[in-house]
Amino acid sequence: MEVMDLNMFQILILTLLAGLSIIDQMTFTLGIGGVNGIIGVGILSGIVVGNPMLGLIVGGLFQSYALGLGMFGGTAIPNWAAAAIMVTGIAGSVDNISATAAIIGVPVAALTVQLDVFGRFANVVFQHRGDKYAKLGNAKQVILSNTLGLICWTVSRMLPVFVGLLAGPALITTIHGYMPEWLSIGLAAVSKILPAVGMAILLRYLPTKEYFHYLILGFVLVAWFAAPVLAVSLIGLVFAINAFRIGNQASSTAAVTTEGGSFDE
Amino acid sequence: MSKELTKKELRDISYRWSWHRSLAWNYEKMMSLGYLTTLTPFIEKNYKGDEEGRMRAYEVHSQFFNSCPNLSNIILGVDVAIESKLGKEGLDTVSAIKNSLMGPFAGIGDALVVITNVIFGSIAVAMATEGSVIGFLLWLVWNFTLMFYLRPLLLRVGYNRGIELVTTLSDKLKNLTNSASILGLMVVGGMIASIISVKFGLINIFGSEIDLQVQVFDRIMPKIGNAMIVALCYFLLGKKRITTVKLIWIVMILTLLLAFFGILISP
Repeated sequence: MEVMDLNMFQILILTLLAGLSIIDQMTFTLGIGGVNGIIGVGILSGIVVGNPMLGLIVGGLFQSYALGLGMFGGTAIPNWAAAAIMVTGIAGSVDNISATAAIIGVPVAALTVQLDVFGRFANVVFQHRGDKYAKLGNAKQVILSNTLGLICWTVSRMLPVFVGLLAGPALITTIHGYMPEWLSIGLAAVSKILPAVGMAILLRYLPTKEYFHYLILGFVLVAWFAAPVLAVSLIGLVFAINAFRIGNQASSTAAVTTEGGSFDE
Repeated sequence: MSKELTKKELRDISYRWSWHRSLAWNYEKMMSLGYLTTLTPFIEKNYKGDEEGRMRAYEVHSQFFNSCPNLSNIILGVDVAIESKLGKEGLDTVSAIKNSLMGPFAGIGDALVVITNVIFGSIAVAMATEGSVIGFLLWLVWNFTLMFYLRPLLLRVGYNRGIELVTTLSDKLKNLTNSASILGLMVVGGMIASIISVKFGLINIFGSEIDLQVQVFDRIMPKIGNAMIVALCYFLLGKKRITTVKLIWIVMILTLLLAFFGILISP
């Protein structure tokens, strides 16, 4: 398998990209990184290796694993953005995506979850520093303490990408040489099945039991009638607006009743 | 004591919040330092000449805080409206408002964020897999609108309408989340049928070859493999000891096992 030969400069830029990606996630969330900017970070990585189209497709693949995941209240989730950077950096061509993703992307994304947890713990140090200066009313030092938190975020994301990019190509060439055919086929199958994990997490998060029938409708529209996503969204919007109106009428009646109740006090 | 904030000052608070909110996020006080850092310029200006008030403000905003990055703008707006009107006399109210709103706002806000991202994301993913960047650009436009228009707008609404808004809003927001969930579930249903691909292979039973995909599963219903794998993941996630990462390994190993026996093949 021909993998990409990266020079040191490219490795460093891709590593910096991993840092930029998490900064965007924790701040402006403009879509160039983190959980919901994996396509963006893929395209940027693609530009670094001179193949933006490869980056777009890899970004799309890993974004499909991350759809619906969110970092709520600090839930640690697999580092799919890092995976997108590494796979775009190493794969070299579209044909190699699923093998590179399975050997480097998925394991690194899953194994480095602990680094995220570690970073969130390490930030306690800056929290204490900030608390100390808050007691003194020192605005400058409070701001600095908060900003120092950037270190924990970026280092915890840049480290795995840097190591992965250095060691990845050799590792992949070695493993791929010994890989039986069933394993290559299996890894390709895995890459297309993994989005199911994200969907299931999302279903656990949404009121699925209550609105199960809408899930069926969405499935049917695509499975039997091959409706595009946008069409499904728009039909969903019709139902949503309808439910919103009915809900509003119900709550305004309820509001009148409560107001009447509090008036008596 | 009443110092009106200009439109620009309000917008700057929203931008500062977007940048600072989670930089020092930690398990102890989560967004606390981000909230305080966001407000430092406001505190310095608002309590000029009132050293006691200034120190009280630093203390109050050092308390635990964690909420939805977007809806927090409403809390910030209500907060600065009260503090700019009442000064340090308002700080107890502000503290109570922060504590009572951050939980519900986190729940509702995060749900809305997930649902919108799933809708934009699934369109972007579907197009990206085919090599088109348009879906992603659409998503970018939404993110920029959120950052430069909607979050500042929420802060301004919180500032102008104050506490009365909060009571009327929580009812509406709950309803909005429910309706958005309907939309979200429909899109997820569609995504299960489109973004996942499962293909069954040929197996040998008593010497005769059977094409599992064509002769068995396609006859039951299309995309049945997709529905089965999601149902399995959903079921497993209900188990106490199954984490996201464990589930990823389980799916990976199970798929490879089935591929070994030729039951699953490359789609």
